[in-house]
Amino acid sequence: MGQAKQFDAPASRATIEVNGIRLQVREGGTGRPLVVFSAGDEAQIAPLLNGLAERNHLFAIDVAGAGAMTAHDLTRNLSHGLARLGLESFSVIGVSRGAPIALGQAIFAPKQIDKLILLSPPPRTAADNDLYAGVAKVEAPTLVLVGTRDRSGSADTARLLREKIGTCHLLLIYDAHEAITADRPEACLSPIGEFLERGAEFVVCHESQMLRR
Amino acid sequence: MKASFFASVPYASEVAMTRDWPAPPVLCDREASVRTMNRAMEQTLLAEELGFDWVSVSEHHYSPRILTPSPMIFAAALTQRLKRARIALLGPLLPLTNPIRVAEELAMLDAMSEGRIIVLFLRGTPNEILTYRNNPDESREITQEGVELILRAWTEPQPFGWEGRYFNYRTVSVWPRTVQAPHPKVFTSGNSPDSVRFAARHRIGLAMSFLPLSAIKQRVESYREAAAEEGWQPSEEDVLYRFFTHVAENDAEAIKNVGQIKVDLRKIFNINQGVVEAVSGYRPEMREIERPFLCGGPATVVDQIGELRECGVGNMDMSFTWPGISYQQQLHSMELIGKNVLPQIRGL
Repeated sequence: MGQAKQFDAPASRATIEVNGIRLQVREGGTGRPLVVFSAGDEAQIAPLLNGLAERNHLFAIDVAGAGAMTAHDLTRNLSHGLARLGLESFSVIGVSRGAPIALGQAIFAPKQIDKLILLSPPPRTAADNDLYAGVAKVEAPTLVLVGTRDRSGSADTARLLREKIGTCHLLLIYDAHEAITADRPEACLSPIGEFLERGAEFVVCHESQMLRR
Repeated sequence: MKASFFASVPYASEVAMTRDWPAPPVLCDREASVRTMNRAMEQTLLAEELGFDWVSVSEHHYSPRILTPSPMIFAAALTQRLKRARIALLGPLLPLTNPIRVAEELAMLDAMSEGRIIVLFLRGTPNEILTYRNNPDESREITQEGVELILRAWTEPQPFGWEGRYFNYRTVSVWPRTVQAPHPKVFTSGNSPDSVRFAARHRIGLAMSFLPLSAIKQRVESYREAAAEEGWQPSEEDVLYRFFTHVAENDAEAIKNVGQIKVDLRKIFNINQGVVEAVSGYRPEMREIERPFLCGGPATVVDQIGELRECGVGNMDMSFTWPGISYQQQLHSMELIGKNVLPQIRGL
């Protein structure tokens, strides 16, 4: 749990306001700016945040407070709030119910988003139709992670994203349920770290396969 | 009840047969290798002619007992010679190979056979784990992950990456797709309770080998219970059993032919005992077998198959090899099965 302090200890707390709704923001870590949207599942994403804070300037935004507002409506007005945090160009991660928010950010502010990463994106609902109508507009290199034991319907959403976004990679996390970051944190952190570092080139293996010289 | 002929492809020369593992390559006569492949193909074609539903091949290494270290290659030849029989790969050893390569090759075979492929994924007999120096302690977990990966490779509609415990790929996108949809019939080992639960969870078939009848019955019951918990009901077509067979004109002759020689699967190879203990663990199928599971005249064998069917087995994979049984006796045994037994068990 030494890593936990790495994000939690220096993290500062703030709020941003979007459409009259206040969203909690925790900031910590050093490196390139990275925004993580999640929805109240703190314990599940703690391993992810702690790992990411080692190399990224992290802004963890809890969107649970957005209530009934659709992802479409929230993300259309989110950029001003993010600008007040000093964020102009950044990568974005959406975890579970935070995934549509991250996706919306990549759709409505494509020039701002360096890389888009979605973990266990929830099944589409009728309320998401406006959002998904614009999914082909995503320009950022995209990575979608889904657990092989996830029965929530995330896999169907992930396949749709893989099909519609030309820059999208789908990664199956073996033996993980919907809470993939809790089930297999290292299996998520390693490819996410590589993807943030190398983008689409993360498919190339540079690890030496030599056993002995 | 479906009948499968196990094409074990034994070395076609008595001179160099050895129980040493690994068998020294110098003992392998090059011309005998040719005879081995030709004879095995002839025997396989006979099996189809006699009415066997499947022909099966397996993967074994470094030994004259079974000369199919690559079952895919022999299966590829079978796709071009067999006209009706299904071709069962029982099976590729996943800890020894790249599962994506296996998925690709099986998909090719399914196309070449026009949708007649069946597959059982295995982790291998204890000696096999030595072949490419894999860790025996991890072989079951590797096999189970490999099965899941192959099923995904056959069914995912979009390219994907795989972040496993033992396998890691960033780009998987198998072409050709399998002819059979969603994929060929798949079995997994049911020799252990853990494997039974795995088969039920993934809704795939259960295969057992060389277990006694009581153990088969118990495994099938566990499989059905586990499947019910997963919300489905397996049929007898989901259960496969491999065993030794010898049929003669009558019971007395069959018993005389197989003699007093027993097959001890724990000692089938001469391997350093310390090595055996290091790689084996508990394997219930690794036991001493007193005589072939099916042994007797045709009428007796029909009754024995009836008992097997009552245990819930719907597919039987028959090996006709047994110590002291000649190749000609094997052929005669196959003919008796084809002419006098198979017509009697079709309705079972």
